[in-house]
Amino acid sequence: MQRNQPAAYLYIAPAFTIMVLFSFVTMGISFFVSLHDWDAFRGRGEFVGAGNYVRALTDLGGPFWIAMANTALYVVMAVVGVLCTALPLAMLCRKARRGQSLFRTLYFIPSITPMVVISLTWTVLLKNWGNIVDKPATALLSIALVGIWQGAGYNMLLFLAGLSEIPDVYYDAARVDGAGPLAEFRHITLPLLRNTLIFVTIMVIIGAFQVFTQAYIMTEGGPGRSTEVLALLVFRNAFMYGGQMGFASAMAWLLFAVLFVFILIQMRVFRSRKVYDQ
Amino acid sequence: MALPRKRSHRKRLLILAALAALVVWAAVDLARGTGPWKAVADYAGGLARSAGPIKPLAGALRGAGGAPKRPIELRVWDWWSPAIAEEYGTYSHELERRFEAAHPDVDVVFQAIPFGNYQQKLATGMIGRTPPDVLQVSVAWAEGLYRRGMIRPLNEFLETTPELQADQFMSSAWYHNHADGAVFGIPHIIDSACLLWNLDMLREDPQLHFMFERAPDGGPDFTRVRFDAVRDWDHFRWILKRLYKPAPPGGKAKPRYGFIMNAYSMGAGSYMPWAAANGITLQNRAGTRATFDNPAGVEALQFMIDVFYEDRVCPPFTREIESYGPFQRKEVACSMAGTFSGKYIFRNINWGGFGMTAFPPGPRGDEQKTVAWANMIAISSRCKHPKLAWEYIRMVAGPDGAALRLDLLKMNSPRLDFTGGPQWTAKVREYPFMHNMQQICAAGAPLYHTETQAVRDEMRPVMEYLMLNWGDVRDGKGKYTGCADALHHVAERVNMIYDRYNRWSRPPAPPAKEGTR
Repeated sequence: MQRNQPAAYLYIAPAFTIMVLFSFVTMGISFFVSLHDWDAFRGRGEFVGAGNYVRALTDLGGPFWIAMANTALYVVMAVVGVLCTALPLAMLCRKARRGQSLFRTLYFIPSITPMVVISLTWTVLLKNWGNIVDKPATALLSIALVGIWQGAGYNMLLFLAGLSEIPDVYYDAARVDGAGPLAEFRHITLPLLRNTLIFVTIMVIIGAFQVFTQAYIMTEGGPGRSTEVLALLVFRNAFMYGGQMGFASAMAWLLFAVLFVFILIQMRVFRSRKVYDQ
Repeated sequence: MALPRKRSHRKRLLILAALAALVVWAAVDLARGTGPWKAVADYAGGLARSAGPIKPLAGALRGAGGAPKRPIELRVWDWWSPAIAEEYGTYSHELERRFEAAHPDVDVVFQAIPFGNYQQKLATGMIGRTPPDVLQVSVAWAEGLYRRGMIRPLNEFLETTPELQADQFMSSAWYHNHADGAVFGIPHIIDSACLLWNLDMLREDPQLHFMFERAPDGGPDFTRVRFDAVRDWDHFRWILKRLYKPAPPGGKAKPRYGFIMNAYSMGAGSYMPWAAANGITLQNRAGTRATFDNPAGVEALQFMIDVFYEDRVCPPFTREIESYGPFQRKEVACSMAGTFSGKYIFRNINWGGFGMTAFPPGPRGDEQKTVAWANMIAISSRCKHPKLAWEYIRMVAGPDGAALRLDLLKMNSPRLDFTGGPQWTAKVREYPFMHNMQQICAAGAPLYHTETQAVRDEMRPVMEYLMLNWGDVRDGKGKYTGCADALHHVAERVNMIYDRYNRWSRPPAPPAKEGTR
C-alpha cells in the first residue's frame, strides 16, 4: 500500500483546521489569559506570570483545594458507582432472552436526556426522599448518584459490546469444569473485559473530573462548600466575577494537568494492546 | 419480487392520504377558527410572540429581503420575561407600542436574557457587536458594569431632563446608580427585604391585634399590618413563640411554625436586613472594606441562630425554590421575603391575606430597618442611538412608566410622586398588602453592591455551615469557635475580593461618542 498520498492531507485539512482553531488555538489563548489579570469584557490587564497558578495552589484550605478534594471524591464515587451499575446491568441485559433491545433503550434514555432536566427532576425526587441533597455529609453523594444514574446506560452499552466479544466456548468449558457464576465472572468475564473496563474507567474519570451541571443546578456548590467542584469554581470565576478570567483559566489548566495524567495512562494501556489470551 | 413493491406502493399511498387528511383537517379548523389545530396555531403564535430571539430573527430575514419598514432598531435587554410571568410580556408589548407610536421610525426589539447569565451574555453581546442599546441593570452589577465600561454615564442627558432628577426619587433608590460623580442608571423600581406575616394567624390571637392598623372605628383593621408592629428583636421572638403551635400528640397534623429561616443559599441575603436593623451595613461605600466584622454583626448572626436553635419556632431546614414557599403553603406564620414577593404569592394562590413589615431594630439599632435596592435602566456604552435610548429611559423611569408598572405588574416605584394618587389608592384597596411597601422601602439601607456574586459565594458557605452545624460549633467541635470567629474569617475573604477587584478595576473609559446612523 502506498503511504505517500499528498491528497490525503487535503481530505483531512477541513477537520484539522477546525480542530486546530477551536481546540489548540483556544487552548493557547486560555494559557495566555492565565498569565494575566483578565476580564471577560475589558480584556487583558496586568501580566502576572504564574501568579494565578500560585494563588490557586498556595491558598491551602481555600476554594481551589476544597473544590479539588470534592472533585476527587466525586470521581471515586462516580467510578465505583458506574462500574457497580453498568457492568451488572450489561450482564443482566446480555442474559435477557427477550426484550434486550427494550432494556438497552430504556437504560440509554438518561444518557441522551439533558443534565439540566435530570438535575431538576432529581432535586424534587431527593427532596421527597429524605433531603440528602441538603445535608453536607450526603450532598456530594446525592449529586454523584445523579451522575451515575445518567452514565450507567451509556457505559452499560460499552460493557455489552465488550461482553459480546467474549466467545461462549470459554463459559462452556468453565461450566464443564464445574465453575459457578462467581468463578466464571472472576476468571473469564473480568480478565477478558480488561480493555473495556480500563476504557470505561478512564472515560468516567475524565468525565467526572469535569462535573458541573448537577452542582450548578442542584446545590449551587452547597451546603457549605460540600459540593463545590472545580468546574463550578472555574465557571464562577470566569463568568460571574469581574476580572477573574485569568485565575479561572489557571485553574482550568491545573484541572487539565490532572486529566492529562489519566489520558497518558489510557494511551499507555491501549498502546500495549495487551489482552488476556496473548 | 413484485409483491413487496406493490405493498410498499400501497403503504406510501396510505401515508399520503393520511397526510392529506391532516392538512384538510387543519385547514378546516383554521378557517372555522375553532378546533385543536386552531389551538395549536394560537399556542405556537403566542410562543413566537413571547420568544425574545424570534423578532430579531424575523427582522434579519426581513432585512435580507429588502429595506425594513422602520429604519432604526432600538434593542432593549431585560430579564423580565414572559417565561417568568405572563404579565411581563404584556408590559414589554405596551412599552414597545407606546414608544413606537411616539417614534414612527424606530423598531423596539426586546430580548429577554436570563438573570443568572445576564452579565456573561452582556459581555459576549458587546464583544460580539450585538449589544443592547438600553438595558435593565440590577444594583448587584451596576457599578461593576460601569467600571468595566459596559454602561455609559448619563449626566449629559440628565442635565436637560427635569423629571428624572435625584430629588424626585427616594434616597434609598438613588444610591447604587452613581459613582465618582457619574450617574449611570435611572432607578425605575424599588424593592426591599421584608417580613411577611399571615394576617389570619395574627388575627387568631387577640394579644397580637396590636400589630394591625386601626380601622376608622378604632378597632383593628385585619387587612393591614402596621409597618412598626414589632418593637425590637425580643419582641419579635415573643411574637414568634405565640404564633408557634405544636402538633397535637398522636395525630398526623404538622405543627404550625412561627418563622421560617432559610439556611440554604443564605449568603448575605438573609443576614443583611438583620445586620441593617442592628445598625451596620455589609460594606463601605467605596467597596474597599467589609464592615460586618464587629459586635453588631456578630449580634445579628447570633440572633438568627438563637431564633432557630433556642426558640425552636422554625421548621427544619429544607431547600426551597422560593424562600416564601412554606409561607405560601400556610405552614408558617412569618417569613423573610422581598416586597416583590406579594404579587407572586397573590398570583400563585390567589390569596392576599398577608402583610409586610420592615425588620425590628436590634440592640444597637434605633429604628425599623431593612435593605433596599432600586434596579435601573441604563444605556450600554456601545449603544448606537443614545438620544433615542434616553427617550426610552424617560418613558420607562418617568411617571407614566411607573403608573404602567403599577397597573400591569403591581410594582412599586422609587418616584416620590408615585404614592397618594387615585391609581395608587385604588390599587392598595384592591391589594391591601401593598399599603406600606413604600414605607418599608424608604427604611432601606443600601444593599451590598461591589462584586456581589463573589462576596455572596464567600459568605454563603460559612453562613450555611453555622446554621446547619451550630450544635457542633457551640460544643467547640466545629470549624469555627463561634459567630465572631466565622464572621472574621468571612470578612477577611471578602476583603481579599475587594482588594483584587479594586486592583484591576480602573477608572471608567470616557463616554462613548454618540453613534451615527
